[in-house]
Amino acid sequence: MKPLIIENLGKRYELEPQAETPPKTMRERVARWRDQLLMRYEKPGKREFWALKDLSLTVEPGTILGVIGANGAGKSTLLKVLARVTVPTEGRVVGQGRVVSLLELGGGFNPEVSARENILMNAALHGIPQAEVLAQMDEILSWAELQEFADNPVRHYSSGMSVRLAFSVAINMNPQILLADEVLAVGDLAFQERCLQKVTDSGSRGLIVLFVSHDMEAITRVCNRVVWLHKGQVQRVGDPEEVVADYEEAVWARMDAGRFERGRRSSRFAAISGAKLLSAQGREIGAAPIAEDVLISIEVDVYKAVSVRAAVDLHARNQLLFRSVDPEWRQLSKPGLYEFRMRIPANLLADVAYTVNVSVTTLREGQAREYRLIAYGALTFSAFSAEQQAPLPGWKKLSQVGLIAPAMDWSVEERSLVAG
Amino acid sequence: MSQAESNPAMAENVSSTEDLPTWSIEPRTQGISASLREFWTYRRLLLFFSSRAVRSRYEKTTLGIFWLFARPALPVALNIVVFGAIMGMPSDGFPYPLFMLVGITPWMVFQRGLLRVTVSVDSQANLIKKMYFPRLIVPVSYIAPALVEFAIFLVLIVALALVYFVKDGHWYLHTGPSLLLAALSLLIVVAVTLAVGLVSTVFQTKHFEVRFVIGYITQFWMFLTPVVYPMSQIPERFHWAIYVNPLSAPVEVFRWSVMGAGSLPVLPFVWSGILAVLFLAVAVAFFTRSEAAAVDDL
Repeated sequence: MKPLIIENLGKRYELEPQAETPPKTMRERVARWRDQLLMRYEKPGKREFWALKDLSLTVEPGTILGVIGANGAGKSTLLKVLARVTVPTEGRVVGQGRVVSLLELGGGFNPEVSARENILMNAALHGIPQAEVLAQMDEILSWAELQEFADNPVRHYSSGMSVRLAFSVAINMNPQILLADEVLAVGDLAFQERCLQKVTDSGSRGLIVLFVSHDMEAITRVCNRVVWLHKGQVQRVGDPEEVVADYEEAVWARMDAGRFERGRRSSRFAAISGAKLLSAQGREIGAAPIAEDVLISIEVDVYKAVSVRAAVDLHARNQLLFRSVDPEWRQLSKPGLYEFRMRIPANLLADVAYTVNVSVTTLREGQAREYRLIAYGALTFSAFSAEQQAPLPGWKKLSQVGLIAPAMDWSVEERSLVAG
Repeated sequence: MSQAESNPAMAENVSSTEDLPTWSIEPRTQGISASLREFWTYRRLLLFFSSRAVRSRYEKTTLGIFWLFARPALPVALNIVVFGAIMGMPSDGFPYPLFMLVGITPWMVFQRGLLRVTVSVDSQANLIKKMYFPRLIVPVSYIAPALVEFAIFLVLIVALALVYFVKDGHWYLHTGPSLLLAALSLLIVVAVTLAVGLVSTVFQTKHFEVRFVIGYITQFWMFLTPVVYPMSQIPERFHWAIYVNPLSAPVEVFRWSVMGAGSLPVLPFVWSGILAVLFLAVAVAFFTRSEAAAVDDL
C-alpha cells in the first residue's frame, strides 16, 4: 500500500466584491456621478481567499488522522479536495484505491426510497459495479442492524438509524481512504465503539481515515495521529495527545474561546466531572443573588498524583468578562475526587445570564509538559437582584446597561466656584 | 473478528490491495475523452437520477395517473383551441387537433427537456457539493422526464386518432419503416436539447434568472418552428429561414412519418443532424471545462 501524499496543495476562492459604499452627502453623490460619466469610477474588485495554501502532508496506510483547527482553517476544503468535489488551484494529491466520503448524517440518501435502493444508489455514486454491492448488501444491512427495515423508506428512519446506515455503506464499500466530517462523533458511545472497531479492523488492510471534528475528546479517543490546520496550512502534525494539547492551549488563549469547540474533559491523569453554582453557605443554587457572595465549584477526578491548577472564564453574551486562574499549583498526591471553589464577591454580577468555561491544567512531577482539560459551557446561570421595585420608572432598565454591575463608591462634594 | 472469511468479495479485496489503481488530483480538469470514459463507468447513475427526476414529479400528487396525462395535454388543448378553432389555422387537410398534437410532440421534448436540464445541476446541488461523480450525468439524466412525456404524447396521439377513426371512419396514422425517421427526429431533438441545456445549466448556477429567460426563449422559438402551422403556409423563398433552426426539420419529418402530412425535407433534415452533433460536441466541451468553477458557485 502506498501512502496518501499531499504536495503544496492550494485552493483559492473568489469572494464577492465588497459592497459599494453609498455616497453619503450630495457632494459625494455628484462627484461619483461625474466619475461614472467619465468612466473614472472603479468598482470594488473581487477579493480572493486562499482556503488552503502550500499544504503538504503524507499519511501512511493504517492512519486514523484527526484534522483539527478553528473555523475557516481549511479542514472542510481539504476534505472536499480529497473527495474531488472541488478542484485545487495548485499542488497535487497522489493516492491509491477508492476514496469514500461519509456524508453527514446520510445527507446523500433519498428519503423517499428504501434502504436497499439507497445502498444501490450510493454505490452508483461511487462508481461501484452493481454486482459488488449486491454481494455486500446483507453485510451492510446487518452491520447497521436494519434487516427488518430494509424495505422501508429512509424517511421513516430515526437519525440514529440513518447514521448507522451511512457508516455501514461507507465502510463496506472497501475504501482505502475514508473521509468523515464530524460523523464519527454522532450517535451513542456504543455505536462509536463499533465504528471504531470496524475502522481498526480495516486499518490492517491499510485504510486511511481522515476525521474532521471540533470534539477534542473524540479526536484523542479515535485517532492515532492528528494534524492541526491554521489558515490553510499545517500548524502541527503528530501524536494526538500533544497536538490536541497545543491546540487547546492556543484556543484557550483566544478571547472567543469555546464558541465553536468541544473541549477535552478528561485525560489519563484527571477529568473535569462537573461544575456547580453554590450559595455562600455551600448549598447548590440555580441562580445567583447579586447582593450575596456565590461560589463556583469545580469537581475534578484525579487518577494519578499530579499538580493541578484550575481556571474559570466567565462569559456573557459571547463576551469574555474575565478569566480567573488559581494563583497556586495544588499538589494532589492521592487519586480521588477533589472540589475547587472560586468565590464571586457580592455586588459584582449584573442581571444577565452567564456561561462558565472551566479549565484544569495538570502537571506530572518530573515532566515539563502541561495538559489542559477544558469544559466549555460547564455551567450557565443567571444573576438576579433582590429589589423588585425600581425607584423610578425606567430607572431599572437604565441602571442595567453592562454585563457586570460592580458596586462602586460614589460621593459628591461642593467646591467653590471659579468666578466667570 | 473477521467478516472477511464469511464474505468472498471482501476477502478478494484484501488480498489484492497491491494492484489498486493509483490516482492523482491536480488543478487542471481532465480531457473530454477521459470525461466520457468516466461517464461510462458511472452509467448506472443515469438510471437513478432519471428515475428520481421522473418520480419527483408525480410521487406526491393525489391524482397521479390523471396528472400524468393532464399536465402535457392541457396546454396543448389550449393551443388547439386558440390556433385551430379561433384562428382557423390550415392544416394540410388533416383535422387540426391531430395535426397540432403530432407536431407538438417532438417540440415538447425540447421545451420541457430544456427546462429540466437547465435546473438539473441546481436541483442536485446537495449531492454535487458532497460527492464526486461525473457531473455530466446529472444534466443528461434530466432529459428523462421529457422522454416520459413523449411516451404519454404518443398515447394521446393514438387516442385522438381513434376518436377520428370512429368519427370520420379514416385512420390517419402511418405504420411501417417510415417510423424509423420519426425515431431519428427524436434523437436530433434530444441532442439539440442537451446541447442548449448543458450551456444553460452552467449559467444557471451563477444566475438564477436563466430558468426564466429559457422559458421566454422557448416560447418564442416555438413560433420559429412549424409546430402550430404547416410549412405550406410559408412562402417557398422563406423556407430556408425556418429550416436554419435545427428543430424545424425534425418536427416536419416527425409529422410526415407519423401521419404523412407535408413533405419530407431531406436536405434540411441532414443539416439539422449535422448541426445537432456539432452543437452537442461544443456543449460537452464547454460543460467539462466549466463544471469545476460551476460547482464552486453552487
